[in-house]
Amino acid sequence: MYLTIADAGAALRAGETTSVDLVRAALAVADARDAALGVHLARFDDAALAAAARADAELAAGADRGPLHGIPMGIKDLIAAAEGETTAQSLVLDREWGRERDAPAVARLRAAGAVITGKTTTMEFGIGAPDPAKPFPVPRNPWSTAHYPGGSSSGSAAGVAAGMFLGGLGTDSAGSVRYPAALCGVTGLKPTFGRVPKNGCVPLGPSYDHVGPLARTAEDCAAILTAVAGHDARDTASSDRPAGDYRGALTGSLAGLRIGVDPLLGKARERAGELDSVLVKAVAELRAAGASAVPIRLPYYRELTTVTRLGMAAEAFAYHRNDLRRRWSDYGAGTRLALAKGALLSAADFVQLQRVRRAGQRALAELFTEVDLIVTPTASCGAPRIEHLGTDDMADAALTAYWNAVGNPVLSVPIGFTRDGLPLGMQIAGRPFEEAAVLAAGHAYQQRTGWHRRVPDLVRDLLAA
Amino acid sequence: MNTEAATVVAALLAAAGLSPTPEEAARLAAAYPGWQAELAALYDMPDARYETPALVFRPEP
Repeated sequence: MYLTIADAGAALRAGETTSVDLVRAALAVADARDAALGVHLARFDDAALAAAARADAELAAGADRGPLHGIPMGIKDLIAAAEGETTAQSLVLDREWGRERDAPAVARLRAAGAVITGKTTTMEFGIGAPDPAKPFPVPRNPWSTAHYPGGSSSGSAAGVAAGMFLGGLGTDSAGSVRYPAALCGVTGLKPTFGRVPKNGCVPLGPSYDHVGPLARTAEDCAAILTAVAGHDARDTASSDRPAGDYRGALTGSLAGLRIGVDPLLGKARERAGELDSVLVKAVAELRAAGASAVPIRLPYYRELTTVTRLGMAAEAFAYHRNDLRRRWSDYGAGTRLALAKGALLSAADFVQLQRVRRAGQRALAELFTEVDLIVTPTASCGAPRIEHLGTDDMADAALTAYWNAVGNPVLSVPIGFTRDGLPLGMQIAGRPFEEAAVLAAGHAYQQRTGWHRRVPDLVRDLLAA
Repeated sequence: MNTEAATVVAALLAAAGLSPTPEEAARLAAAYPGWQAELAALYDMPDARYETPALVFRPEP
């Protein structure tokens, strides 16, 4: 089975496989392992096979839509897709919301030839922790089913790692693309705020929310971003800056780039013993690709992390207030507590958060005059055990929320494993709208390493077929 | 248990019309002083003292 979109695309064009074969293989993995992993909330097998057959017919007729043509992809179930209802993994969301329509990001994937195979698991509304008492799967990590895959784009990350699809869409309000990407050993991108339209997505914190790709490689994420980026006037936060050909910007060389490295020591209660040596080796690979690296400290790390955690809760509470009043027990236990936090902030607190965001953006812009990219760990340790799940523990280990307060693009790439065999990740952040530089660094790193091609034991036999 | 925090949190939750269980209210009350300390640090941040908030209002919908 092909592991990457690029490999599958090359095989398609060489006549070595078909989109129908790719989709059948992906569905077979889902048949075999979804009960153990909880990747899907809905599967669209018939529609996907029909779309794959159309993709094959188009290619045979010489109509090539590009790198995503005929590629099976999964969509986080906060994002509307025409094949089925959107649930937000919640009993609360009105099932009429988003019915029979695509979010712009999904419509763009479809226009680029992608085959939508299903909707994937999430934390309820993108927040809290899985509640086994609710009638939804608790997602599990393909590297160890005793562990959590991270959230909230849990299913999209685990599904890519397990080979149930070759790419996916997630949303990221405090790290929900990057954290599960790191914990599942795949690659995930939070684009610049406004780069990808987020209308058609169930909101969490509208000024913190981003839609972004997950795949095995930075190259594949670049292909997905190229398809979904661009202005949509229906999203008031959408940027009208022209989007680029992000895949075309991947040169493999980082010559002349200055990279600031902050290991974020002391920023989490727990830290994997292997993390620092793994990060040092990863930075050495970036140097070997031509970059220079210098130690830096992210300005206002604590403050901007606080801004995201509290500000997101405040914005989310505005959306959920009436439902929380009427249907408290219909929400998952972790979700309703996380949302209720938003009731405990004052309006002045909310405005002060916005003042701190601006000050943080200025300090960060100053730092980006001295470096071109910033590297940090994505999480302080590997995946938490399922029975230890708790909102505070997860939020503490994820070193991601900082970037949602400021809006810069950030990629997470796999860089190694803990001694227990759980993946670790590295964030690569850039200036606003410089996704190309971030992806190029991830691609150059992956040209020199093989972590992104590692396959979990749980699916090794299936993916080798 | 910080009784002042418990009182404030109970009042804020009631004002918002929320009905958590006693255990849930206690969890929120236990976390509340920490959140307040984090917020206080944001008000004390010198670079934010004269900063314009990152709020945008557009005259067209």
